[in-house]
Amino acid sequence: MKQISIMVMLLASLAQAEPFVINSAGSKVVGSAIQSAPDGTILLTTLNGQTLTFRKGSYRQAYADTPKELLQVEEMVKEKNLIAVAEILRRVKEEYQFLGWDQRASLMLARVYLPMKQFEDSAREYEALFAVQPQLKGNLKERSNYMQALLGSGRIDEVAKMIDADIAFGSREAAARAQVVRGDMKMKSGQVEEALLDYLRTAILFKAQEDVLPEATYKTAVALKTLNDPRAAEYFQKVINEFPDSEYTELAKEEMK
Amino acid sequence: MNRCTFFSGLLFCILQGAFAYEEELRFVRGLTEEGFPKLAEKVLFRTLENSPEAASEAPELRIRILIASRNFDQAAAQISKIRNPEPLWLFLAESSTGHLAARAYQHYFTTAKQPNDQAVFNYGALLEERGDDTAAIKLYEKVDSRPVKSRLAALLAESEPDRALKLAEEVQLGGLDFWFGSAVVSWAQVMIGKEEWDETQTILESQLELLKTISDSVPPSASPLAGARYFLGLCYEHAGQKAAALTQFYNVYAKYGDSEWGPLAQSKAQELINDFEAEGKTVKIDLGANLAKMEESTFRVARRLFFDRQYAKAVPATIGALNDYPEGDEAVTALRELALCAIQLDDSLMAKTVGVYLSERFAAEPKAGDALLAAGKAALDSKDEELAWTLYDLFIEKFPAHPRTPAVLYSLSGLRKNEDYLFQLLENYPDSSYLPRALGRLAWNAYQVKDYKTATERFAPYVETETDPQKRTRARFAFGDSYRQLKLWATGSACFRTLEKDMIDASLGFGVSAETLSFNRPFWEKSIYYQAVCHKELGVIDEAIDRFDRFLDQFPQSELAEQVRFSKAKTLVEAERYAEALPALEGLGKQYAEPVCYYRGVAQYETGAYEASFQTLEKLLTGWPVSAFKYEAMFVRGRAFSAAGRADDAIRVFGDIMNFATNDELMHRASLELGRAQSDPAEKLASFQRVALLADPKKDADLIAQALFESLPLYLELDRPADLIADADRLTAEFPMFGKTDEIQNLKTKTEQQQELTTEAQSKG
Repeated sequence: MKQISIMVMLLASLAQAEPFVINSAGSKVVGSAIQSAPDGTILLTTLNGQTLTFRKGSYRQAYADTPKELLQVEEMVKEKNLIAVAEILRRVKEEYQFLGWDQRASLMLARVYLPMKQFEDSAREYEALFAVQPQLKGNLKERSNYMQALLGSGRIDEVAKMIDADIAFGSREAAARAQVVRGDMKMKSGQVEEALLDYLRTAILFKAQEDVLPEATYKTAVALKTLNDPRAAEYFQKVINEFPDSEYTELAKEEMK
Repeated sequence: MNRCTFFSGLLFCILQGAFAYEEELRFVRGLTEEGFPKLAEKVLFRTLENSPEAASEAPELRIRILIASRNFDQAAAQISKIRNPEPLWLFLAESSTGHLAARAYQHYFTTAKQPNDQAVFNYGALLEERGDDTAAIKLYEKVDSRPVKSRLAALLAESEPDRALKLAEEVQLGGLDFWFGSAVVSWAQVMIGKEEWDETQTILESQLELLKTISDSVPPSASPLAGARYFLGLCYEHAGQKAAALTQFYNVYAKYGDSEWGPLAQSKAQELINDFEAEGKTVKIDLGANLAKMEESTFRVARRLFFDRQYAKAVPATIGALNDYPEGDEAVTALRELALCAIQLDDSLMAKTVGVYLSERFAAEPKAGDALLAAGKAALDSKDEELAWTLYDLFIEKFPAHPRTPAVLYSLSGLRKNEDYLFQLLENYPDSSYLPRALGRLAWNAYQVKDYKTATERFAPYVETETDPQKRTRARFAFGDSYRQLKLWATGSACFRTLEKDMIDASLGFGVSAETLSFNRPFWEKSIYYQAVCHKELGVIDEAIDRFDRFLDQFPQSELAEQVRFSKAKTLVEAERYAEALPALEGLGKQYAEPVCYYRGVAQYETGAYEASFQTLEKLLTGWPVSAFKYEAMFVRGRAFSAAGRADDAIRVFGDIMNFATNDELMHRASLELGRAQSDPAEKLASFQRVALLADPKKDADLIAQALFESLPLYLELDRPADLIADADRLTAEFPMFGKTDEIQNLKTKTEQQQELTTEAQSKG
């Protein structure tokens, strides 16, 4: 389910447009074709067939039309052929350097590597992106994906720091997510009571964070059950009653059997 | 009576020595009522001193003082012994709270024939608070005042509506005051119960302005407007005017949230909103200026439950409010209350959850730190130590800059008997006022467990930082004593010297108090005494004697003086300054009679007074037959006999030692001494050889060496050269440290020469 949702996100921004360059004066020069060289030079074929050369530093932004390779991606995602998707994205990233699509492809790669469990590659893509787009690190979803990549890469200390920062200073949504992630980490390492404190806190004091609430409530119940606490049933029931459409409801029902 | 008047009165009393005692006792009573128990005690004490005839009134006043000092249990125990306890029970009831107040009221009402109206009202309120409405009604029926009638009307509104209505109307007729407002609310409740909706609505609408005026003079929690608007809301709701009803309910909720009507109004408002939403309508409440108050009101409902100790109800209410305003101004306070509720409900999981949340999400707010501390204290009070330590540790970890952190570290070190907290304090809070305390506790901890090495390391910085003179004095003494225990005599002596100097300086200080002098004196005394002890151990006997003498000059009346005199005499004996020791041993008390007897015997022997010596020692042996000095005294006595030419007596004494000796060493020593006392060379040699051959070389090497050495001339005398050479060789080979090499060699050479001469003579012959 997660794999598909990442792909939907991935394709959402694909749309057709003409290539252009915004020169250093801020004027937009529209063309019919565009190419880039590894040194940052841009060659724009204007609508009247003339080729304009923009050296690196002499333009603000260059933008190519949607790479046609990306249009194949949709079909591949449906077929769950993630290896092929990654291959295309890597090619686009290389060929469309400086043309707007390299970073997009990089972001898509960072995301697609996660379901492929290529966590180190995902983390590397994210880090390269964060270097040029620091604001991206503040995006809750990307931050969460990056943490997942770090976790998968075994870079626990870095994740722990990010999580603690989110819990202390992040938005309430970020804090709620971070609490659940930290709970998972603790649960995995056998610190059930510590995990419970994170889940329970989220379940009772972050009720406005509806996206996280079913998961937090369910995991509270699981942790309580692990600790043989009779209140587990109350929380499983809560999941069933309060979040009937959640994916955790079925799990809770199973537990209640 | 205001405080100023009382202080004036007090001054007047102080100035007027001979004040009539009745007046003074009235004054004592007044002081207790005004909350000045200590002053009251002083005045009572002085009055009783000046006027012993006032003693009969003292027990009652003492109880009043106990009550004013909040020693309630003690007071309660004594009230029953008083002849006229009624006013005292009332005073106790009015001064205390909770169960004790209830118990005091019960006693009061059991004996009071005409109970005080105010007491009825107060005890009734207490009973209501505890949910015992039946008892409250029964009590209220005892008197006829308007406030009591008003409460009675409120309590009877459901169970006896007609009576309640009558009472409410009676109260309303009495005047336009707070009780009038309360009676209007009770009246409305009864009327609604009777389904007189229209009349109730009309009356309430007409009274709102008046009730508003009345409410201005009372706190919102007690405002009659809250109840009136709540019932008006019910009337509107009944009439189908839901929007108007919602306005009333929200007004009550927002403005009078902590009144008894607040939670009911909130619940009704929510029902109406749900109804509207179920009809597909969106409820937009324009709170306008009340917006800010809304948050407060939301929490107020929960807070009221918390303060009413309805913890189980307060928990969901607080969580609900926190989810509405998770990080608003009230959040930290609410989280604190949530944690406290959880602790009261033994829900340590919830308490911990809230504690961790406070410490992480609100670490920038000192108030959150205070909340953790309050929760920690509550956990300790509830005997949940594990939870308390978790909460305190969270505080320390997450609130390092909180002003109370050093104090908490210090307290925890004591509570948990864990020095790590103190080390944290030393490392992270070097400028804290708790630094000296931490140093002090560390030092004293080490001293108490007799880890003197660590104690010296810890006392060193402590004595330099402690500013409290008494604490510094104690520490300086323990500092020196630690060195003394470690037998580091020179450093110990220096510490005691510093302490002595401090004591001298303190005694010379301007306006030094008698209390200071009295406190310092034992330390001053010991500082000199222990200097003497240290000097003695260092072998600096002159210095030691100087300190002993200084002590005796300065503190001749000290409790330690006798001990010091004895120590001085003993030191002189041990330093072999026998002639000085003899006068020093004179005049010592009975507790030192036994050792004094021994030391005197020794000193007499050593100064050649042999007759006196064996007589003195005889006294010791007969007076203290199992004395620790017994055998040593016998040795000295034997030597004294010997020196006095009474060899037979000496031989008898050494023989006795050998017969009764409890260990081998004594026996060998006695044998050696016996040999010395004997005159026949063969017998002497036999005594020495007994030691040389039977003593354990590992334990008694010196004795063996001495015995071998003293045997050599006897061999010569008895013409046993081969034995002499053999023992001389053994002596040099096995006891190289014995010395006297030249003498041994001479004896050996002499016997070898003798041997040569004998051989030569034999060969010639």
